[in-house]
Amino acid sequence: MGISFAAPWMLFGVVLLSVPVIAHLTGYREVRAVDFPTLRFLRASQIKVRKRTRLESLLLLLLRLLAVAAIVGLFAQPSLTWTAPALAGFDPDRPSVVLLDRSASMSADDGALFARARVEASELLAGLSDGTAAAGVAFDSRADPLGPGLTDARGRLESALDDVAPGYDNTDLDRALRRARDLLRDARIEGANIFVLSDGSATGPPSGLAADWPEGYAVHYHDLSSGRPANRFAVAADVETGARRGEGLRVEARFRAVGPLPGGPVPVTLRIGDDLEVVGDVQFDGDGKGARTFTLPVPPAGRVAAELVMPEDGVSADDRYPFLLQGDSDLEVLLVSGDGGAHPRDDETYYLAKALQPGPGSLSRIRPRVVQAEELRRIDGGPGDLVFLCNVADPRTLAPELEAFVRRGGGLFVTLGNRVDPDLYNDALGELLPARLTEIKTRGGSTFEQNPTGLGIPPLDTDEFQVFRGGGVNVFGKARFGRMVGTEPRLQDGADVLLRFTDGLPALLERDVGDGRVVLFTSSIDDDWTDLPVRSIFVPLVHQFARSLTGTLLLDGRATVDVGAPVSVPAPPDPDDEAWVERPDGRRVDLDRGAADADGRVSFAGTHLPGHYALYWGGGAGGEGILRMGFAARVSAAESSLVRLDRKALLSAVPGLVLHDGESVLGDDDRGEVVRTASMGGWVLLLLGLSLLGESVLAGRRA
Amino acid sequence: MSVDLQTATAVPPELLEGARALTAQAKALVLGMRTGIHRSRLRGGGSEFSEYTPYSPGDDLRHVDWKVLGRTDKYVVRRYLADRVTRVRLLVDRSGSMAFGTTGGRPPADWGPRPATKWEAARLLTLALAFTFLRQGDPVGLAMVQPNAPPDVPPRAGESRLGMLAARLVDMPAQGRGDLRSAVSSTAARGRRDLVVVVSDLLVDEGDEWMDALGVHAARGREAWVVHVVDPAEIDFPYEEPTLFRDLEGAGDLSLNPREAGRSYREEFAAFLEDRREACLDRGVRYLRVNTADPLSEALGRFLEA
Repeated sequence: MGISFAAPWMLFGVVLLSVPVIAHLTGYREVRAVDFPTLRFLRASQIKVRKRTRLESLLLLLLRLLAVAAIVGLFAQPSLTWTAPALAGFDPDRPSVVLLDRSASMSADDGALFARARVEASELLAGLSDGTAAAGVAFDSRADPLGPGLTDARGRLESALDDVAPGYDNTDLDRALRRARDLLRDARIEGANIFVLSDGSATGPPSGLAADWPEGYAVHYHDLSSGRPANRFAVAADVETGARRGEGLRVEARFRAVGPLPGGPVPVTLRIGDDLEVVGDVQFDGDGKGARTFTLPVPPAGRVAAELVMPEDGVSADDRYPFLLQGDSDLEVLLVSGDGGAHPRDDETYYLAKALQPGPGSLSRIRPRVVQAEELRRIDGGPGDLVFLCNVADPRTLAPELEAFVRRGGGLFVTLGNRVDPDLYNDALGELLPARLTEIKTRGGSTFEQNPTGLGIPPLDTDEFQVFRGGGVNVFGKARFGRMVGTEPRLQDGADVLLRFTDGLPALLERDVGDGRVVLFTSSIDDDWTDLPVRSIFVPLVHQFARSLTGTLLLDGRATVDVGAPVSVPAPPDPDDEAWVERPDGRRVDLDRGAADADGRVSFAGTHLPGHYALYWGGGAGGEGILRMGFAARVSAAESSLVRLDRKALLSAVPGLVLHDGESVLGDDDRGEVVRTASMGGWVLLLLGLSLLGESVLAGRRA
Repeated sequence: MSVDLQTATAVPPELLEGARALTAQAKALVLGMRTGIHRSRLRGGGSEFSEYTPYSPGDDLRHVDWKVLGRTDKYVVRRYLADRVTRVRLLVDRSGSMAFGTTGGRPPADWGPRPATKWEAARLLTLALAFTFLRQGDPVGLAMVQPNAPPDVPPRAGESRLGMLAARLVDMPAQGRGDLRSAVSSTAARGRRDLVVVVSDLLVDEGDEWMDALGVHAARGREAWVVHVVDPAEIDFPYEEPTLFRDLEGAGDLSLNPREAGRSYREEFAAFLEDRREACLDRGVRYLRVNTADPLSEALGRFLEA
């Protein structure tokens, strides 16, 4: 280490050091003489202050010398020069990009693997010559340049490097390499080194890079792992409610073990909500597979966050497997029957009430209350959360109360039948219905069972029908309808057709009214006009609409995605409503409603933390939101399984790639040296400022 | 008022004017005090007639000679010898340190130009005290603390002595190193029953021996007074620039930066002042500190009244 000067001849200015010395020595020459009665007290005082003033005087001289020396130094432009270890075998003057793997698997060995990678990255940067452009990129499923990007400001890069920590995402080597290439290309650099510091595992080799890879970009892939650590992780948690008699909830969990297999059973904990923990063991077979079933007598109510917790092992990032248990929340539903009948089965709401609440022992949390329309002048006890208006002959007396209820946010499901007068309905409920009714239409013969008219294919991407993705879609077409009420083709404002009959007539229509929503079923809800109530889709259908109309429908509630994977979430239909996702760490991420697709869905890509996420809709700023969807993000099984990249595939995917399995970037042997210099101008300026400050303080004190 | 200077024939003619002026100032100073000599503790209370003196405000009207007033139309006061006459020995420091002064530029007082140096203040105070004592019939003597000091003026009564004393006080400037211890010892020895008044800046190197001599005098039942004359610059030390300080009594020079040593000096000098005051009081010696920047009449008046 040494000091060099850009303008050494300026050092002749050191003769100026004599100026403060002379000034110091002559500074206290008395300017006048004064007769004084006695010097006795002055001499005593001088003795007292002599030691301090002599010290201050010397300090003042030193500060003045420093100030002059600093000024001379500024003109001479000193630089600190030293030698640093250089890249063994690499050109320190060649621009370089360091790709630092921060995926979940890099947390192996209690973080030691990532710490080593970071040190190597730091040494790589330090080994480059001054002025050589370099960049750091932290990558997992994303690829984020560190600090200023491609720069020769090495200090800022190394500082940004210190802030990188391993996360929970997958390793997307393809994206990282493309990012490095783009950085170099944007800077019009034709020849460069790209260093990959990773653990040798990734979701897959890069694809399609070879066709567009500049010849001058050499990739050095350093696998820093020292073997495959023992790692145990959950791969699935299948939840079933009421699967067997006496079981309220059944969770079938499946596990994998990679690396050295455990010698015996491994404890695993199922944690449900904040209060419930169920502990069990899982035994792994020779292939590293294991399973464990947990049963609970009572299913949870509503949406409950759950997770499987494994003991700490080689990779700590995947020791928790989050998922959701979805139970229903309680609903109070009012069924207004327009056709009572002599026998309960003849009642208009018989099938509906049974579907919503089958009876004792049912897991349904919907509690229907049936009232006869003839007895009803006003809704005593309140409408609850939802009103089914079923074949009511004269809704006029209830219309004002129902409209107010809906506008306040209530849900109204209107079903028709032989007692309905379309004109009367148009007059009484015109402000609520999605479309004006026209006339009762009859299809086929006397019995609708032979009638070919059924329900069309439901849109499975909508909230209400998504449950039929797993089956039941064909049943819609099998339901038979003999009569229905036609509607005018022109829908009311805010209305839409959700489902049509096979002949094209609307079967289910919806309309947003105020803060609430109205759904119109143009046939009967009993078996007078249709056999729908005895079809298998009836129960889930009415449950879905009951939940949808009350805003308690949880969408994709059991979805568990890999960390970093985007999740498609619905945006609120009301443009005044906000939508946001609450992350596992409690932070709120607002959704950009403007990014919604044609189906009103937004892709949420911020799943970079494992844990439970919740989608909320809410009206206005600061208002509480309504939970609309829950999902969980877990570390990808591909990341947890620590599958090493196929070396051949890697070599063929990236032209000119050099593998350094288990090698440090800087070998201990044959390490080169590079001369580095750093300007001392800033330090000299600081020295000058401090010395001038000290001089003024001290001189002021003496004055 | 006429001053008889016939007895001061030893004074060179060029000093007579100075002595006359000093006498006038001293009288004006005393007469300007609210405190009259009749209220002095040394007031003469005897019945033997001594002399007539012109009336001055503050004189007891009972002593105005109404017959003389009727004959001459002049107010004169009859003076009597006290039953017990107190002889007063004034000992004035005329060493070099007394030549220091910084109050010359200040506005004049009622009784004349303000003294510019400690010596000018000291001789004025001395003469004012002499006038006070002489007016009440006490014999007053004078001695100088000074190298090669002139012979002491023995105590004699009569206001006519005032001119001679004034001439003695103006005949030489303050200079040299005085021996206060010898002067006090000598004066106290000569007048064992006399009141000894020391007027000085007390800047002496002999320690407290002179004070002890004064204390012995006081312990014998006689009175001893110390009038401590101080210049404001000695207290405040108003110097800022690096300065060469020269000792007025020839004890060398000292070059220093007052900004560095000023604070310490002020502390030292304040301690000295307090020490002198306590030393006097401990020995039964009355102590009066006179700052030459302050009105001398007020300080003297308070002192005599106490």
